[in-house]
Order: sequence, then C-alpha cells, then structure tokens
Amino acid sequence: MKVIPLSPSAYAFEPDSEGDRIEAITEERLRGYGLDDRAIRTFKQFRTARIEPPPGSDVLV
Amino acid sequence: MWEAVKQATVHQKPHLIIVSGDLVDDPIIYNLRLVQGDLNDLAQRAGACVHVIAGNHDVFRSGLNTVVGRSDAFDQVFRDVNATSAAPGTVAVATPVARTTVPQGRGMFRWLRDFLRPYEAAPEPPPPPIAAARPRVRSLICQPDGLPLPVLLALIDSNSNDAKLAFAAGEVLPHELVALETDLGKRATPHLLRIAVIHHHVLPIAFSHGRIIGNEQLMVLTNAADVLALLARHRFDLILHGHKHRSQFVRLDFSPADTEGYPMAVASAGAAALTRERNHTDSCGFNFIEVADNGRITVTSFAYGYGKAPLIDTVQGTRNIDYRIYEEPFAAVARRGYWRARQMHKIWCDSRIYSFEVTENGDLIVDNRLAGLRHAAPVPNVVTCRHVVATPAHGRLAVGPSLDEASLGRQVKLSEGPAIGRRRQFVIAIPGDSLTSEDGGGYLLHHEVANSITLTAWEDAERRRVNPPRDGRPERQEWVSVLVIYPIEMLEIRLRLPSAFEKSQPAIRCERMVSPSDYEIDPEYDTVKVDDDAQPVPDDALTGYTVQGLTWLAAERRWRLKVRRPMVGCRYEIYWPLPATPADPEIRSQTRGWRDTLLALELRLRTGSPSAPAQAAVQVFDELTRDLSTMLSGSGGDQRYAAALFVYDQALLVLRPVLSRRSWADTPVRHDFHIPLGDGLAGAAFQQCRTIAWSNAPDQSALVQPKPYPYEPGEDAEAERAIVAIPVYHDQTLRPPSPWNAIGVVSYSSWGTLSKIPTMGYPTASAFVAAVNGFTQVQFNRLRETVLGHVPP
Repeated sequence: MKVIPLSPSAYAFEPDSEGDRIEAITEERLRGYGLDDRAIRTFKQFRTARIEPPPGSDVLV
Repeated sequence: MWEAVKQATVHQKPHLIIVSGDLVDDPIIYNLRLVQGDLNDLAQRAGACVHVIAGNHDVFRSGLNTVVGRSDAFDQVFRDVNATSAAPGTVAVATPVARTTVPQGRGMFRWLRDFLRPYEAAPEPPPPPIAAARPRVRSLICQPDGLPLPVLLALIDSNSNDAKLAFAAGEVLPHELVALETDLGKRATPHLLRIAVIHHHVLPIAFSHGRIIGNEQLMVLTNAADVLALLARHRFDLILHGHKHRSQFVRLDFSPADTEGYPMAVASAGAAALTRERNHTDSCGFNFIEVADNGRITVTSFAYGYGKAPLIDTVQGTRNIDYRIYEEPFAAVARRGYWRARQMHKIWCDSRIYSFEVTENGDLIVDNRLAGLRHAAPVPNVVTCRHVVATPAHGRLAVGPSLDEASLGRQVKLSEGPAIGRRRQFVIAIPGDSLTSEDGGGYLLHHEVANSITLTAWEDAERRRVNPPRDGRPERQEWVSVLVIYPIEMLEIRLRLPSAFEKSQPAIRCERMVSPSDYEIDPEYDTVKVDDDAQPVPDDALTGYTVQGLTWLAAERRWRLKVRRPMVGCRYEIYWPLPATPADPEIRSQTRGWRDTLLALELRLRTGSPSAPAQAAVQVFDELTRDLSTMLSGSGGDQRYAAALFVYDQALLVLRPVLSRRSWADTPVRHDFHIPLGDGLAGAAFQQCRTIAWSNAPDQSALVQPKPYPYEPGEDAEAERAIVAIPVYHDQTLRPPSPWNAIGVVSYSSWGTLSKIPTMGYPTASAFVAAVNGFTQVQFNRLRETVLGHVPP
C-alpha cells in the first residue's frame, strides 16, 4: 500500500502490491479486526470481480 | 521598369512607403511634380501612405553641392510651404510646370555650363520670410495616420547648404539636431515603432573598394555619430537611408550589456529602377519591412538586375541570391518591447517570482513575490497593485490571500475589491516612500485554492463534456500561467508537481492577450487593460525564445522558468500532459450502467416505492455500516457514526448519496447533499481512485477538508472526528484503478475518540488499510447482487 500524505491530518492510500488485492485478504486477518462469522462468510461469498448491471432501462429496483 | 517596381510594391500591400531620396537628377519643379504624380499613383494603388525625403540629387543639380547652393523646389513640391514646420506626405496632385530649354553646347563645356546654371524660377510664390535668428528646419517629425499601430516617423534632412563645395557629402546641421531633440522630447505619446529616414549614410559602407566615386567621405554623414546618438537616445527602432544606392543591413547596439541600451537596425536599398549600372551602385532593389504583432522587425532585401523587373514575391526567387531576410533576434525584440512598455507605464519592478505548488490532491498553493517596485516621478503617497485570484468553478479559495510578516512590517495593506465574475479581486497598497528606497517597494502574497488542478485525462474529459472551454485550450493538459501587466525586469515562475508527474516534461506556451493597436493603460493601477473575453493569440516566436529559460531544479524538485523583460500584455504558461489510462469500453459502459441503476434506486427509495431487492439492498448497506464501525473503532463499535454510499452522477459531475445510515437517526442523509467531483473527501477519493483518511487534528490543512455534514434542524451539529472515503469499483481487479471503472465512494464518519482512522497513515497499518478497502468492495459487490435480486433478502 502506498501512503501519500495530503496534509498533516489526511492521507491517501494507493494499492501498489499483490498484498492489496482482495484475494490476499485472509479470514484470520479479518477476524483480527473484529469481524464475526457472518461478515467473513459474506466476504468469502462475494469476492466477485465484476457484476453486470441490469440490461437497458429495465431497472429491477 | 518603374511600372514593374510599382506593381511589385503594390503586391506587398504595404501600409507605409518610404522613399529615401534621389527621385530626380535635376531638381526643377517640373521633374519633381512628375515624380510626385507618380508617387501619388503608387500611393493610391497600394492604399498606402507615402513619405519622401530629399536626396542630394533632389536639391543639388547632379547631386553636387557646389557654389550654386540648394534648390527649394523639393520643399515646395513635397512640403507645405505655408507651415512653419513642414507637413508630411505626398498628398497633392502633381502640377507639372513647363520644362526649361537647355542651351546647346559641346562636351565638358556644356556639362559645366549646365551645372552652374541657376535653377529656374519657381512659379509658386516664395515662402514667407523667416526671421534671420531662426534658421529654417527642414527635418520633421510626424505620425502617419491610418496605420495599424502608432508609428513615429522622423524625416531628417542631411543636405546641408552651409558647406559649399561639399559635393555629395552630407551633414545634419546643428539647428536641425536641436529641433529634432526638442520635438522628440515633447512627444508625450509613446509610439510602438520609431523610424528615422535620412538620405546619407550613418555608417561606413561595406565593399566601397576605396575608390573616389564610391568614397565614403562623400557618402557618410560628417556628423553621423551625433545623429546615431540622438536616435539611440530616443530609442528609434529603424534607420532607413539611401545615397550610395547599395543595399546594406546592420544591427547597432551601443550598450548591449547595459539595461539602458537599445538595439537599432540600419537598412539601405539599391536604386529602385536603374536601367544600367552607375557609380558602382548595387544591383537594383528595395526593402520590404514587416513588423509583427509582437514587435519583431523583419527586413527582406530584394535585389534584381539593372533594367529588370523585380520579383513580385519571395516565392519566385532564391534566398540569399534574389533576396535576403534579416530577422530580428528575439532578445532584441524583448529589449525593445520592455523599453516601449517603460515609456507607457509609470510603474515597473525589478522582479516578480510566482511559486506554484500542485499537491497530490490537486490543490494549488501560490506564493506571489514582488520586489523592487518603482514609480516614475512624482511618486504618490500610496501605490496600489491589483491581484486577481481566479478559481475554477469546481475549486475553492481555501486560504488567503494574505501578506507575510515582512510585508505587513513595511506597512503594506491588503483589501478586497469588487469581484469580477468568478474572479476575486484584491488590492495591495504600498507606501510611496518605500518605492524611493534603494530596494524599492515589494510584498509577498500567499493563497491556496482547493480542487483547482486537473490530475487525470479522464477528469479533463468529464469537465469538458459538461462545461466546454471557450478558450480553445487543447485537451489533456493542465497549466499554470502568469499575465504580465506592467514592465518587469525579471519574471520567474516556479512549479512543483505531484510525484505522479515528476517524469512529465512540461512545455512553455506564450500568448498575446493584447494587440499593439489596442494597448491601453488602466489609469487606476497603471496596468495594461486586458478584456475579460480577450482571445489569446499564440506567439510561437516568443515561445521559442522563452523556452530557453526553463530548467529542472533537482535539489528542490521543481521546475523554474526565468524570463528577462517579459513582454507586457503576454501570458507566460507552463503546461504539462495529463496521464491517461486507456478505458476498456465494455467495463466503462457497465460502470455507467451501475451508476444509473443505483441513482435510480435512490429515487425509488425516496419516493417511497422500492421493490423487495431495493429494501434488501438497504439492509446490506446497514450490515456494511456496522461491520465498518467494528473494524474502524477501537472499542468494538462507535457510539456515534454515519456512513453513506455516494454514486457518481456524470451529468452533474457530483457524487450523490444513494444509501446512508446514521447512528442517531432513522432517516437517511439529505438526498441533495451533493459532493462536487474532486471536492471534500469523497469527491477527492473518487477522482483520484484512492482511499483517503482524515482526522480533525489541530494542525489540519484548510485544503483537504470534508464537506460540512448536512445536519437537519435540531440535530447535534458536532463535527466529525475522523472520516475515511473508500472508492468502490465495477471490476476491482483492474490495476491501476481508474475513474471510468469507479461507481462511487463509501464514506464512513466517526465521532469516537478511539477511532482507528487517524492511525491508518502509519506504515504499519498498510495491511489494515488493505483489509478495510477489500472488505468494503466485497460488501459492495454483495449489495449489487442484491439489487439484481440474486441474493434473497
């Protein structure tokens, strides 16, 4: 992760390594930050790269 | 042949035609009237103003000053005899007089008799008697009408009648010099071009071969140095002369290293229409002089054979054989331009240094230092300078302008004047007594503009799509510039770019904002007036000259452009290319589709008619909010927090809230809480495709600031302690992340005292930051699947 100081109180974080990819985030790491089984289960389930939007003007909502 | 010369002259479409003498060989009224008529014809055909001066052949028979004295015929034909000072021009219609009969004789005797024959009596009444104490002044200063820029013309008479048997030699008599000096001293209105016309040479002649007929003693003025000194003192740009009928071009610079020096050009041409070679004259020719809008003088010297028709244009000839081009070095153009500006303005300064710093966030920090400000006498008690701060529509003047301590200590005062559209106007008042000190007046002004600089080609395209620029600027460029509005001895522009641009090579662009014919001074600030809607005119020659002053200062990691005596009315710009990431058309199209879908979801939720997937999406977002609170708080969850999913609306160039959750209220954040692209934290995170973490620290910058939270009336309006803005994408695998792939931003605000957000900037927190980013993206993916109805509520 590339950290870019913007000001004394603000930072920007730019992904710059394989460790920043979602695939590299482990369950153990997430548990270490306080997330429960539900959160980790959905994390594993929805690591999808792309999701196609609804076709044309047929918005399902 | 003369007709061909006229045709070639007309083809050049001149504004001004100068004839430097020797129109005739026998200076009688009849001959001069014939020439006058022909020059009138030329003037009418060319639509130009024609000015002539007398050559030695126009006032002395065969051009030799002997015992007969000077003829007044030229003055009677070409000058207003009733005026105390001569008037210019070939304006009257020629009235030929009867030709006198020349007595017949043989050989040398006939020549000598003709030579010593008195001039014929003039049919016009003689000029009024002039008091003996005031010798007649034949030289004159005039300003021709109808020219595209103000031109001062000095027509200098060098045919002295005082020195008998001077033959072809010339002198500008002392009383002529005094009259010229006096008249020039009275010329209050500065002229953008000063041309002196004199018949005799002011410099030695190249290739005279030392022969008697081409003897320089008869060609060069006996007091040439006095004349040159006078013209240099009054900063003449061009000296045109004839006499020897040889083309020659010289640049003079009496003091090139001196700031008071002024470059002059001296040009002569061959005879216009000789049918055969005479007296070792040059081949026939004339000079075509062009003055560009930036003041650059270019002399094209045409040469054609005796009895031959001249070239119509350079395209017909061979350079350096049929014509030669003398183009003024731009350093000389700049020096002359500076002195012209000094003549027109009362104020000038030794230096101006503009320091621009572009931050990683696209903010612009500006320091404007002025030193050595001077004012022509009388110096007023207070001198005011105007400082205009222009911010783009999406930008914000976050800091200042403000003066530094040293300026305040010198009693310099700053106040704000009326705005000019989107531009804020500030007035700096400088005590007059500081201008008379050795260091002159000065100040340092500082200001900062947030969200001012475009950082990517994508952003440039987005802004152009919604607000097309009217100034014709090229795409995919960003720039900083300085407009020079009064004379400056040394201009310096310093530029520091973000790290992403350090490998970019900036370039220079110079543009004229004021044309020479429209140069006006604002009397309040003594600056050149520039219209608000003035269209810049690129000046490639000025750009080519200026770029030499651009250097990279490696130790300071900044670019520096130094310009000595920048041209007033011109804008000096440093620009650089914007990085672009090629867009995958399919991904870009799908990304836009998701933005539209989620914006439509917000509308359905707000109007109270959401579908089951929409309601399920709200629950997913609530879960995401709780999980972020768990991860980002230091105590298992924040007591007070707020989160929102902002989606990019490309029609308005803003981020709009679609889903939100606040710990103290069941209602969402206001739907009209729009965050402009690049502004606040969410706007900056989306534009730069970077997660941004901010904390409400005591030393926080005014540039990187969140938009004020839109509290409802009656709510506790406590400021957030920390905020993180996380971009979410359509395809999170793309590297590098790009705005055309970004759907929006998830923003989480914490009011907790133990929030981990302020620690995200530590190097050891990189894994934590990656986890927060990744978790947010995955939950956003789940939300999208829910919107599609793929995930059961």
